[in-house]
Amino acid sequence: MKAAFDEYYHRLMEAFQNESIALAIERATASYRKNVTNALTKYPHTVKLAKEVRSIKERSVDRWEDLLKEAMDNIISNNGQAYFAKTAGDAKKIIGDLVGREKVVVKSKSLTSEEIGLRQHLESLGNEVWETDLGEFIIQLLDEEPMHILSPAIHVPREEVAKLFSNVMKESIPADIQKEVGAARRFLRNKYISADVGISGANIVSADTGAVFVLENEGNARLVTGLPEEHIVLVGIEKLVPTLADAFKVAEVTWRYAQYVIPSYMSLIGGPSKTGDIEKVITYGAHGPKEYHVVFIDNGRSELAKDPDLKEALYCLRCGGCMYECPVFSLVGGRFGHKYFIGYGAAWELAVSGLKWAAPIAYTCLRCDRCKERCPVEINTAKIVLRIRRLFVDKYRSSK
Amino acid sequence: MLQLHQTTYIVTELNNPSQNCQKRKVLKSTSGELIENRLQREPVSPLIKIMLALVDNMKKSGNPVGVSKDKLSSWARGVEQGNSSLVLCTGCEYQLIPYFLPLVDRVKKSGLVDSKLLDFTLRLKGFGLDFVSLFASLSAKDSDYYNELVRKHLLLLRRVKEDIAFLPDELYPGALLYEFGFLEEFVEHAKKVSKTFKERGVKTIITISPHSLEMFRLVYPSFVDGFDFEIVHYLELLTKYASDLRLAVKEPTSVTIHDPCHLARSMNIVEEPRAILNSVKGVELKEVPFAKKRWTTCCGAPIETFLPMLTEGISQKRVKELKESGSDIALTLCPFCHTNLRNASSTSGLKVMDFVDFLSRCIES
Repeated sequence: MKAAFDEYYHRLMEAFQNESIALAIERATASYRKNVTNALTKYPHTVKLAKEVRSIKERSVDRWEDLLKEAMDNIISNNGQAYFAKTAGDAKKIIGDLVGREKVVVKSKSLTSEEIGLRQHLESLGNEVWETDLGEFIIQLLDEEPMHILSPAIHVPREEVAKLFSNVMKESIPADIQKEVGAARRFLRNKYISADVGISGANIVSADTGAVFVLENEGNARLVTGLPEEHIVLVGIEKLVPTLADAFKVAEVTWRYAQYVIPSYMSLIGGPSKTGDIEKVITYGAHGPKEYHVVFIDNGRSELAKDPDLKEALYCLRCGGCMYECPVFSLVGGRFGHKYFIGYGAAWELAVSGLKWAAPIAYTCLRCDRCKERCPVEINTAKIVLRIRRLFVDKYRSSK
Repeated sequence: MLQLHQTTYIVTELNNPSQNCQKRKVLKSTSGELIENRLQREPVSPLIKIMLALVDNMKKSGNPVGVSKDKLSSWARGVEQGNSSLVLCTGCEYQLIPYFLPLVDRVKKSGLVDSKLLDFTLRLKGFGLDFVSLFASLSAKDSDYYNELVRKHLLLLRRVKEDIAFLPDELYPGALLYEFGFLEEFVEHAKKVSKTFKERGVKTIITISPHSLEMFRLVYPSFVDGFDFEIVHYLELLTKYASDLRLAVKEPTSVTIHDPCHLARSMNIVEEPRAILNSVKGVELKEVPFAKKRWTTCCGAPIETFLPMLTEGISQKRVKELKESGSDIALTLCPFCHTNLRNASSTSGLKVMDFVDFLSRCIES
């Protein structure tokens, strides 16, 4: 227990002393607040829709087992493969077996894959794995951990990116954001083309069709999910909703609170690529992936779903808005967290890493409630944090 | 009950302060094992050590830093106690702050990973030579300041309601136990507090801090049977009678309000201080861009005991926001916000004042 506390505090203080983190987040917060206000002003119905989404999530989390079964049946009937991984180890085993060895793998951003350390696992099997989201790509090259769920490299200034890219790409890249983006595009383009497998996460899964929704702006997820011959989705059971109509509602609220009027892309993936153009014979692997696998992961989520206070954490849409409102996050970014961030993340940490990581996060939260004001589904972080503190005290009590 | 004494250093406690000179006693846990050995065998995070020390103090003295009842009531010296059922409960938070500060200072200096300095501080408490007596001379000046703030609350309130009484023994509502997750200890403490109110014939409790208000209004009723007192916050009371106070400033002054998180978001007391300020002649209220119930920013106090360095950073950022209002003065409505923002503003050019302190200076002579 002490080791986790010590490591946590060490990283927390290290981040606190790095003033560029606070500066970067201050700028990002100003910009986020302006953008989200614009998006919500232009589409004011979103606020009401968010309340509906809360109720969709409440209902879905309560009956995740039914929805999982329905979704898996539908994915299989659409000629995909569906799997259920109870633990992180199970998920890594399933995906490791699907990928095999000495393959080139491209990934789009997925917090769930960070949660289980998927990239590192596939690399350990002898595969070449590339993060293709620009922020994740930077984090991968830096060999660091993400600082924010949507903007993982939020703390890295352009000068540092230029140095890093120049080093990796063996050419001189100036500290000019446009040129840096262009360099990453050129570098990664070859990886997509040579990739054997594409791995993505998912924002939402509709049980009635088995369809998976992937929201993004860069266009990398389109390439990851569309170009290689094999596409694997790793998704948490909390992303299941009953119907396609529900999924669209969740999608709209997610991108709006993630500060976008409309995202550049939303991919709806229902199965492997197919054609019936020759003699109406359905043939798989036309231009897109021939093989399509969806791996649902529990990894502690079902335990959260049983707890009246903690299950709220599963409603999270991953819009990332709460983080811009958190005073602690404003100083130390994602180091107020471990695999998941800020106060409500303590519940996630409890599910995926256990109390020893959840407790120091819970005792860092101010319980000031501002995150809840921003949260489209009004996750009650103060309640979650108090619950985890009580669990910690009880555990301490019983261990003596 | 949690057997805290098994893990803290409380064995050779010296209750008589005159015996403090015997401080070289051997520390043992209740199992008879030397604490040093136990800590070597079973390292615990400084966070847990701090928490247990504070909780242990709560059990012994009813407040987290072990301040004596005399000291907590010393603000009332020379003030008539009164005997009505309408009672001002200070919640002790203003009075406790000067005694918290030395601990916070130690944590700040020692960091949170393995700290000999922190261990030393906490062990002093185990010897009976607690922060209170150790830092008594340091905190005396601060004590006067905070006592004066408490006194001003009562005197101002008595201008609108003459029969407000207070209790001879000050009661701390136990918010810290609740916040830290020590629910059993909290409930036990809350029952004692409630019993004292009953025994004293209290009907209505006036609170002066957001935490006391939240505890008594929202939390106690869920945990203590028969906690049926009427709970009033002083801002609610003052709002009713604001015009009777006849308040004015000598020079035109611009002020901004720092809404405390618990008061604004949890208790929805936002418009009250604004209405009161509205009645003060010569005062212009300037709001910060992100303010009031939804967006007010925390001062950082809730994590001060464990992470004072972060608290400092958070309060400095908050002072910067408050300055953006363009006001001369930022008014605080909570003792913890007050202390943090006052410290953080020392070189900022912004004056941070307690709301009641400000109003007291606005009374037209």
